[in-house]
Amino acid sequence: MRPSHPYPSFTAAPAAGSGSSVYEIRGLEVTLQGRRVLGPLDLSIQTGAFLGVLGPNGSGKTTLLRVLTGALRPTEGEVRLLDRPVQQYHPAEIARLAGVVPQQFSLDFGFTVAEMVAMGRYVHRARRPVTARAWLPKTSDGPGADDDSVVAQVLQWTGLSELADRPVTRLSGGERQRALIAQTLAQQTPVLLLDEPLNNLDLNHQLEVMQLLSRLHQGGRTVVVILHDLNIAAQYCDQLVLLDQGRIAASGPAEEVLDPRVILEVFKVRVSVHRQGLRPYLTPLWSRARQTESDRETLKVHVIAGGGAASPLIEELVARGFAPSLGVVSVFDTDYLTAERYELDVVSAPPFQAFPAETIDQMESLVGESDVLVVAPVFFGQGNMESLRVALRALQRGQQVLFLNPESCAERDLTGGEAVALTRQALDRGALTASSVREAVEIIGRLALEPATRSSRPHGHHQKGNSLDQFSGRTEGVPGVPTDPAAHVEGE
Amino acid sequence: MRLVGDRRRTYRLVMLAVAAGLLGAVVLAAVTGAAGLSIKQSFAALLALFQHGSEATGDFPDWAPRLLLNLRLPRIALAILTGAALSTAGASFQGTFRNPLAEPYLLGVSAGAALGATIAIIWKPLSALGAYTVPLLAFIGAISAAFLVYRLATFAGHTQSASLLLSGVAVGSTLTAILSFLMVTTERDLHTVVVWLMGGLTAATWTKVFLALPVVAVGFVYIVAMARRMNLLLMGEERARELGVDSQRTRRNLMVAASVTTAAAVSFSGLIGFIGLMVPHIMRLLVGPDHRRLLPASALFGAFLLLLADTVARTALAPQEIPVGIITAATGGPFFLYLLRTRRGA
Repeated sequence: MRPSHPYPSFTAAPAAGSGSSVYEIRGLEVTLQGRRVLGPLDLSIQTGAFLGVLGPNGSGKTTLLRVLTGALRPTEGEVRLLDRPVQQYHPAEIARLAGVVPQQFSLDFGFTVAEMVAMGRYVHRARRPVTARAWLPKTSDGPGADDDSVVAQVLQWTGLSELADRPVTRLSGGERQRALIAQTLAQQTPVLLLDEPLNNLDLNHQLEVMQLLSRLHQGGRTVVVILHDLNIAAQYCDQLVLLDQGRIAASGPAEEVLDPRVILEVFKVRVSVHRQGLRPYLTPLWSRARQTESDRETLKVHVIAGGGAASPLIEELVARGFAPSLGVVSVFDTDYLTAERYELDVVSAPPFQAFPAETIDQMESLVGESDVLVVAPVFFGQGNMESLRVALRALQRGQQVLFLNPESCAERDLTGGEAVALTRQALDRGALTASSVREAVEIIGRLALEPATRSSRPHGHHQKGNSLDQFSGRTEGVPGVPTDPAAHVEGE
Repeated sequence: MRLVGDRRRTYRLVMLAVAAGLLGAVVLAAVTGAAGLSIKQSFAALLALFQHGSEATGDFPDWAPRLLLNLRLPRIALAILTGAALSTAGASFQGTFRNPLAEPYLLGVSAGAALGATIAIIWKPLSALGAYTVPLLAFIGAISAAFLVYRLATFAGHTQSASLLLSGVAVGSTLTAILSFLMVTTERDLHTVVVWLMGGLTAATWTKVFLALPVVAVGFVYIVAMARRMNLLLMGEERARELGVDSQRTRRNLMVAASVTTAAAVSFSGLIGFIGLMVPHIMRLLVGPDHRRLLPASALFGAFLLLLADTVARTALAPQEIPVGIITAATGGPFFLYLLRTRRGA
């Protein structure tokens, strides 16, 4: 799939009066059988854009694409391609400007892959007046412009060279999909419209196709691609449009569109957002669509964290549906960032100093509301020694306390033996121990199934609702970095 | 079953073989017949005809060259023309409908032609129009039926394949009902009607050939010119449109061309079944689905097959003739079943 020579540049002068947009959509509405499936929406697709169109099933993505190709007539509003209504174009003119990769195709007759791909060259032989010719790059002359070499090249790009003589009827799903993409590329259009082109493709071919689109985009082509993988969209597209029930729920660069609140609203899925450079990366946590109040969601776990020691445990707990609280941690701490990513309750303190007394109080009250307290393998210094005393007091109240890797406590004791002594004291009073994150999670999972865990809670006041409700309530508020770094309990 | 490999070479070989076969069939058809001429005499007369014209004399009866010129040769020409027309139209319908069971009579052309011809045969006042009343009315009937079917299947400018097939069946059976009614209420000419319906190239004349030739030729040239678009239409109307074909229009034009071509052939030869259905299938197996090869190959093979069938039809029970429609249906029926059974897995 590596191009043997660079793509022709499509930065040619745009048609007069069109500005720099390929498509200009104004007040678009599409009604099918009395039901509005798209719109009203306005959208402008700039020349050279790499636009990802996202949205749940039935949100109007394919309908939008079919309007762009002229296959579907807008019920209301207007779609202009190069400053001329799409409806006024002859199909051959559009086919020279915009290549389409539909979601599926059928070809029951035994054409070979090369023959099928060569069909994409039809438009370069059809003698039709092309009014937008001035805008078109000269793909019909120069090196590599003759049909056979174009076909050979796109077959190479899509990794199909070796299957050129195989009948299409004998291809696998992924090979058919790549043949379809190759057929469209053979049209050599400056605009590419793709409807879920990664369907049926293995991971390697998914990436190859996206990289190919990326290179085509760098060569000057405008790419509009419907994707259902939000992360692939975030990774490759410059701009995203998120459709929801026929309307644009969000549009702009990936980091704006892929906001957890927007995703929750549109997909009913709670996600956490990581960053890879500028690009967001989403991890789906759970779907709100099937709301079951499980024991895990109601079991309250507090983790004494710090220095990143608790992050593996926290991630594992979140992945299993728990919503642990954290603290006290400093705002520069890795564990703090982990908690922030999953929007967990966290008691935070300013860095490089002993935890202020009020943060200890806040932790104490969070611990008091918890069913289980976990002491992660953190380094203990004078600054966080108070955490261990909180754990001891919890044990005295009869709460469950779990020490993770207590055997390594001596190595983590920077207080000259005080932390070790407190830990030993806690273990003597019946604290649980776990020698690995896996074991800790298993123990917590077991505790979640025992009603006794909760009845042992002295404060008695049960959390209202489940953790999901807490989250959905929180999304209305302002999550994220605390404005007051001194001491802050996030959330409720 | 499928010969992929180098299709260009296969195509050339197939075309060469079928052309040779057609030439052989022409000679065979010219030298056999019910006139009481021996093959040797016929052959001599044929050669003499080409060398010296119809007044040539030699080792054969004096009337032999004229018999060849006015009876056998126009019949050969009409068989070639009809076979080519039906096969091209069949391939074209199968392509535009993406349906292996489509055939030239899909749009009710056969029923329309049959009704027109029957009216011309049994309603005597019409014979005042001249010797070509039957083909003329058959042609008008065929075109009207196709037009009616097309109009009935079109809703708001869009024509769906399914509604075309269904209205074709509906119009066809209505017209056939009228035809049956006419047949049971008339006593005279019933035999003539039945023979026409069975299809036959009896009474072929050069006039008929030259009347049918331009229509069939124009239709054939148009359809072949559309070959590349037909290939794209095989991927569906929407995909063809995305690749630059004005699908609706192309499909409509192809249906008109194929129906007119069929009507022209049917008007002079009666209803000859199965040629238009099976010839494109055989050729698809040999030269592949590309219409740029499939259409010429089908035309040539259809011409060859119908000429062969007609030669059998007029010699097998000589001097009595079997309507050639019986021969093609008798061989086509089993082939049709074979297709149904083998294509299931494909």
